[in-house]
Amino acid sequence: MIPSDVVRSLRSIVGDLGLISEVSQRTPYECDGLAYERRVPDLVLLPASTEEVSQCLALLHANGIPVVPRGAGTGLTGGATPVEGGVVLGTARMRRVLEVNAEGSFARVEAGLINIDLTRACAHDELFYAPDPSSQAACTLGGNVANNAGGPHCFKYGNTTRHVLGLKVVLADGEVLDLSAPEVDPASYDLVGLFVGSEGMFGVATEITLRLTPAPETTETMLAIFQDLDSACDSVSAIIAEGWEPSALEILDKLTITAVEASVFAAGYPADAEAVLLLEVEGTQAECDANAEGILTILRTHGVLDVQRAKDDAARKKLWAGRKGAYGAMGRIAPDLYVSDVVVPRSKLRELVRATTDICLAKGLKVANVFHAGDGNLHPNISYDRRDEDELRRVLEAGEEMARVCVAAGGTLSGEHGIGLEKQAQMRLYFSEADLELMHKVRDAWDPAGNMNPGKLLPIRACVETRSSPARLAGTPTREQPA
Amino acid sequence: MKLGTKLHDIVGADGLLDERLAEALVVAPASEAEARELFHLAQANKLRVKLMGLGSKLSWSAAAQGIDFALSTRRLRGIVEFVPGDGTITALAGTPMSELREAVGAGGLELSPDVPRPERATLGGVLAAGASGPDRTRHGPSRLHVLGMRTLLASGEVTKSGGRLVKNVTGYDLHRLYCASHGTLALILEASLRLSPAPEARHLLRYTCDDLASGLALARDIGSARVKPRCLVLLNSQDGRAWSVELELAGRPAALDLELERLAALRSPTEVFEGAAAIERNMLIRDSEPDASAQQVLHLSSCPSQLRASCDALFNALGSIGHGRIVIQPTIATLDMALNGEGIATESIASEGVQAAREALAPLGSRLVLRGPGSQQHSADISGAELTLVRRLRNTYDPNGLFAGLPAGR
Repeated sequence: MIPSDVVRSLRSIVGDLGLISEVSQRTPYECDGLAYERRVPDLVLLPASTEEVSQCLALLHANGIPVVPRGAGTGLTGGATPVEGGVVLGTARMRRVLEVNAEGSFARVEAGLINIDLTRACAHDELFYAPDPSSQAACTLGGNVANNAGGPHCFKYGNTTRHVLGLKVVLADGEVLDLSAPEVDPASYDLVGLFVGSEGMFGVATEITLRLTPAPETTETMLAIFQDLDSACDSVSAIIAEGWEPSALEILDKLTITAVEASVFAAGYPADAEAVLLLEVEGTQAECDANAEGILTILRTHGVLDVQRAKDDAARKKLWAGRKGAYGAMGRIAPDLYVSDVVVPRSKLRELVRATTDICLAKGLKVANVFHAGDGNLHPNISYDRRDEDELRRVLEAGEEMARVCVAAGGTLSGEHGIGLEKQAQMRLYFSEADLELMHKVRDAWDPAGNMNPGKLLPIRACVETRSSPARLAGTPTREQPA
Repeated sequence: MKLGTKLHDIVGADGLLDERLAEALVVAPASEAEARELFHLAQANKLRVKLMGLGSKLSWSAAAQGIDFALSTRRLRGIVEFVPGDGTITALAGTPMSELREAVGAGGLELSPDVPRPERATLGGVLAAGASGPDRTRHGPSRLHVLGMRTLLASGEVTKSGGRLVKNVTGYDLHRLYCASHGTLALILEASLRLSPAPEARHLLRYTCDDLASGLALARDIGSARVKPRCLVLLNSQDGRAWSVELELAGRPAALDLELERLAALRSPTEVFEGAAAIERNMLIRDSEPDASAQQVLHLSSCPSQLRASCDALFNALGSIGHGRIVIQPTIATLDMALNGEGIATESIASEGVQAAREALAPLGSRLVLRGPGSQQHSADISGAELTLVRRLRNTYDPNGLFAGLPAGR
C-alpha cells in the first residue's frame, strides 16, 4: 500500500486526471501482453510532462517506492507487469509531437506518442519513421525505446536503436538527464545507446529525438506462395546470401494463414498454401525492378508456386494487414497466445524453424509460425488457454526449450520483444555470471536504489530485489488475484 | 623486480615494443591470457595503463600522462568468424581495418566504417575512439554497426555484450557504452559487425566551387535531388583558395543511371570517375581527413541547418590562425580542419583561438574539440546529471583507476 500522505502529494503533482487509485480502474494495468503474469498495481500515475514525472519520481524515490514505467502495455514479456508495493507510471498523457525538422530529418516527440502517429505527422514532408512493430497502431515510442523494438521493415532499416538520436530521461531520483539534442556523436559515453533496450530499468524516457527516413519513391509488395515451409526458408537464406536488398521478408505458415483468412484481417492469402513469403522492395522504380527481378529468379529456383504482386496501394495495405493482424487473428484459435521471440543465424533458418516447431508439437501444442525471416527472427506462436495449468506448463517448457536450442545453434534470446519477466531465467543460457553481474552493476550506476522496474530482465541476484512472491523466485509463474 | 622485467616475463621479447608512449613502455600481449596477466600485474601494483591499438587516435582523448605502461592490442589480431550468408564478421580488436575490408570484399560484402588510413587503424581502436569514415553518409556512425563485443574488464574478467547476429535485444547494449569510451572502461578484445552487400557499380563526381558558401549550397541541393550518396564530402584545395564537392554514388547500375540523370539536371560535374577509378578517388578523399596523430586538428560537429553559420563563426573566431586541409561532411554536419602552425606562436594562442571559437559556436548548438599530440582540449564539457552518471559508470568499471585517460567533462 502506498502511504496516504504520499498519495496526496502525488495527486498535488499530477492532479486528479493523473492519478488512479480506485481498484477497478487500476485493474487494466495489471499486466501487459504476458497475460499469465499479473498483479494489480497499488497506484497508477499518468503525469503530463517531464516536470511532473521528475517530481513524481523524486517523491517515490524518497519513499523507497518502486516504479514500473508503462507505455501502451503492448509489450509481450512482462516488462510492464506491476511489482508488489509499486506504482505504475504511464506515459499516456504525454503524446505530443514537439518538433518535425525536415531539413535535419528528425523529430522530437513525447514518449507516449503512438508509433504510427509519428509517420502520420511527418508524411507531408515525404518522411516516415521506419521501425514498424506489428503493434504500431497502439504501441508508444517510449515503449519502443525501452524494448529496442523492431518490426518487419527493420530488416532494411534496423531496430529502434538505429533511429534514436537523443533522449530526455528522468532518472530514478527525479533528476532530468537531457540528452535530447540530436548530436552527431555523444559528447562523452553513449548513454543514449545504452539506455535503448534497458526495459524501464534505467529511468523514464519522457522525450525522444528520432531519425526520420525519406519515404521511398516506389514500393512494391509481393506474396510468394510455397508448397512447404522449408522452401520458403531456403529462398530467404538465398536472397540474403546473394546480396539482394528487399525492405521486408516475412514468412507465414499454414496455420497462421488459416487463422488470418478466417478473421477480419483476411488478406486473400491462398488457403491451400503451406507457407507464404511476404516481401517488399522499395526505392526508385529502377531499383525496385532490379531487386524484384533478382528475387523472383531466386524464388523460382526454390520451387515457388506463384507470386502475386500488389497492383496498388490498397492491395499492398491488404497484404500487410494480414501479416500485422496475425496475432489478433490467432485469438480465434484459443483465448491466449504465447508469442515466442528468438533469433537464429539466417543461414540456419530452415533447420531451426523445424526444430522449434517440433518442440511444440512434441508437447502437444498448437504452434503457428509468423516471423521476420530476413533477420532470422522467429516467432513460433503457441495458442493455449492459461486457465489450463498443464497446458500453460507445457507452453513455458516449450518456450525454454526453444530458447535453449536456438542459443545452442548460435542464436539469441530475443530479437525485438526483450526479456522482461518471460526470459529472465533464460538469461543464464546466454550470459555468464560475470556478464550478468556487470549488467547488475551498470544498472546500479543508473539507479543505485534499484527501484526502477525491479525484478525484470536480470536473473535475481538477491531476494530483496524482487518484491515478488516466492513462486517467482523459483522461476514459476504466479497468477495473482486482483486486490 | 623492475617493471620492464615483470612485463617481459608476461609477454616475452616479442611483446615488449620498441616504441614508447609518454616515455612509458608499450607492451603487446599475444593472447587474452597475457592481457589478463598484465591487468593482474597492474592491479596488484596499483599501476596505470593506457589501452591502445596502433595509436592512430590516441590524440582523440586525454593525453597519456602519468601512465606506467601502455597495452597495445596489435598482436591480438585475426578474423574469428566471417559468415557471408549472415552478413556478419567477428574479429579480434587488434586486426587492422584494411585486413577486414579485404576479407569482407572477397566475400562480396562491404564493411563500414571505411576509416581513413585503414592500415594504421585497428578494429578495437576505431570503435574505442568512436571513429567513422566518409561512408557514414550512407551507413551511419560505426557504433550502429556493432552487433556485440567481448571485453576484458579491469578486474581481469572477460565479459560479453550483444552477439553475432544482426538482430538482438538480449540484455543491455554495453557495447554501445564501449564505443567512444577511449579505453576508459574496458579492453575491447573482439567485436562483431554487421556488413552490407558490396555495391555493383560506383561513380564519383567532382564539382569545383569558388568558395565554401557555394560548396555548401551545392551540397544542400544534392541533398534535395533524391539521390542516396555513399559519401558526400566538401574539401578545400591544397592552396586553400578553392573548394570541391566530392560525391560518391554506389549501388546497382540502373539505380545509378537515374541518380546521374537527376544530378545532371542540377549541375554538370567537373570530373567523373567510374569503377576502379572511382574507388581510387574515394580512397584519396577518405585519407585526406586531417590526421590528428601528426598535427593539431579541430573537429566541429553541428547540425545541417546550422552548418553554414557554424563554419562562418569558426573562421571568424580563429582569425589569423592558419589552417591546412579542411574536410566537411555536410549531411552529418561535421568539419575537420588541420591547423598548420601559421599564426600559432604558442600553444596558448591556439588554445585561446579554440576557446573563442567554442564560445562563438555554443549559441548555435555546435561543438568544437581540438585533437592533436599533447592537446588537452580533445573533449566537450558535460555537466549535471550526465557528468554524475558518467563518473558512476567509470567507477563501476574501474574503481581502482587502472585505465589511464578520462572521459569527457572531467
